[in-house]
Amino acid sequence: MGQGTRAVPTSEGTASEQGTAPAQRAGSRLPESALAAIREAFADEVNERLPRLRAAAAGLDPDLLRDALRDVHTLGSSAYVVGEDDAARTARAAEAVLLEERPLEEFVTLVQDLDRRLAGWLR
Amino acid sequence: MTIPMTVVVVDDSAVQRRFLRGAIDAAPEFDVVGEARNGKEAIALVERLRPHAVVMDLDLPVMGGVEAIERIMATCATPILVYSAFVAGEDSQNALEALSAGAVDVLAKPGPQDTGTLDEYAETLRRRLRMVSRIRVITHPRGRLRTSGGLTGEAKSIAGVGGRRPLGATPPPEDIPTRDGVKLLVIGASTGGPHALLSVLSALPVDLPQAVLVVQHMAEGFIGGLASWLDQLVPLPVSVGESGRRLEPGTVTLAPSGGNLLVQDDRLRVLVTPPEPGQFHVPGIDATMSSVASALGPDAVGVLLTGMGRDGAAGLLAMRGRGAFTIGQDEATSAVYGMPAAAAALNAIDRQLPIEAIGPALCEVLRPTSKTPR
Repeated sequence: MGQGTRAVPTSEGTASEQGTAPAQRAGSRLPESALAAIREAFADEVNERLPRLRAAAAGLDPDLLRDALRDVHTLGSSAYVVGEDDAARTARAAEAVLLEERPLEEFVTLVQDLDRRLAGWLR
Repeated sequence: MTIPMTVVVVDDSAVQRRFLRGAIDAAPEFDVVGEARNGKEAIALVERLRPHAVVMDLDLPVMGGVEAIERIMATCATPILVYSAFVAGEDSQNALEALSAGAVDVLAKPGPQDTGTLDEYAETLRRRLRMVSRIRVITHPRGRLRTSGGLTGEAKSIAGVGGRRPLGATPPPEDIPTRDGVKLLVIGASTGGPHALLSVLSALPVDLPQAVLVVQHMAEGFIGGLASWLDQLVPLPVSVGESGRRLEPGTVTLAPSGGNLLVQDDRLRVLVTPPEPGQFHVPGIDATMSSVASALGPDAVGVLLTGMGRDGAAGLLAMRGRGAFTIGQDEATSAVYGMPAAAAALNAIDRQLPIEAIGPALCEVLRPTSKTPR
């Protein structure tokens, strides 16, 4: 589901088809303007960082993998803020693969999974 | 109408900066006046805007958070709340590094492992920021000396990066009595405590004939990290206490999370008990110091360092009432002059001293004279 159609966190508490965002569960007092700014910033992050992650997974170049560590970490934290909990867990799992120096095939699979989960945020 | 407290937020993620701004600006008493994406930008922004407080991530590009904290505290001391994903559990060492660099408090960023709501996180953030922004901070020695071209011997000692302070490098204050027969030094600390503890413990000699017991208010899961961190930096071995153990001379024992550590007798056996119903601070300083007063009477020394609230004041009074020598940290060097002020108000303190004088004073008090303890 894409960014334009995904039901995102709002102060009115609209439900998401992919899960209920943290802000919605509480009936957040964060103003809608702040939530809109968060969503916009997340779309920017996905569009900036996801292509870099794809490149890192495709080439497994050490330099790209170093940047990939920061990218998956940031996407993991940010995805949670906008209610993309599954994407956040996937990003954290990919981060753990790099930190623990586990086989990179796991990283490739997780990036593909992340790509699929966040595709709706790509412009 | 009151003037809002100004805040600078520092995070390389625009999502996090937007969340921080939204959460903080939702409270009328705060105003986010600037955003920085890395440590270098943060320093420049803080120097230009002089905010009342800073909320800072640690994992930053260009310049990391810990270095930025050191530099801000060296040139433009400002209360800093660390907000990072790398401060809990296995990463608690990062929290202690940040506190040592001069940060006032640490809050873990929410992530997939958490079950709270954004609104709850926002409220927690504002609550912690209210506390942090009220604290009057002082210029931090580690940063001050690093920015001026390297650490001096004294700074290494205070910062804990160069081993212990040579005895006699800082003379003890005048009129500090030497006490024979002392078996235990007990120290209580809260907000701002890790750095203050580092300063005091760095001054103690490796052949200290007394045992040292520390009660530091700290969230569950951080005490082990604090013990590891201090163990690397101070001359004496540092570990976390357990029920049934004896406190050994020449060692530092930290009270564990989740209960009160009590000294049972003059053989220094300890017991960890559940907190009292409604007890706010766990581990409790009052509980430990009161047990020390009963078990050891005059054969103990008590120190109450920086911290918010009153915990420790009654316990220190009990110790003094039983003949123990007591020291309180002074207002000028306390990150929060709460607990030592409460102790002073109760007349529980023999000497009130700046943090840099407490270690040398303890060396004098605990120095063996005609006989060794035990």
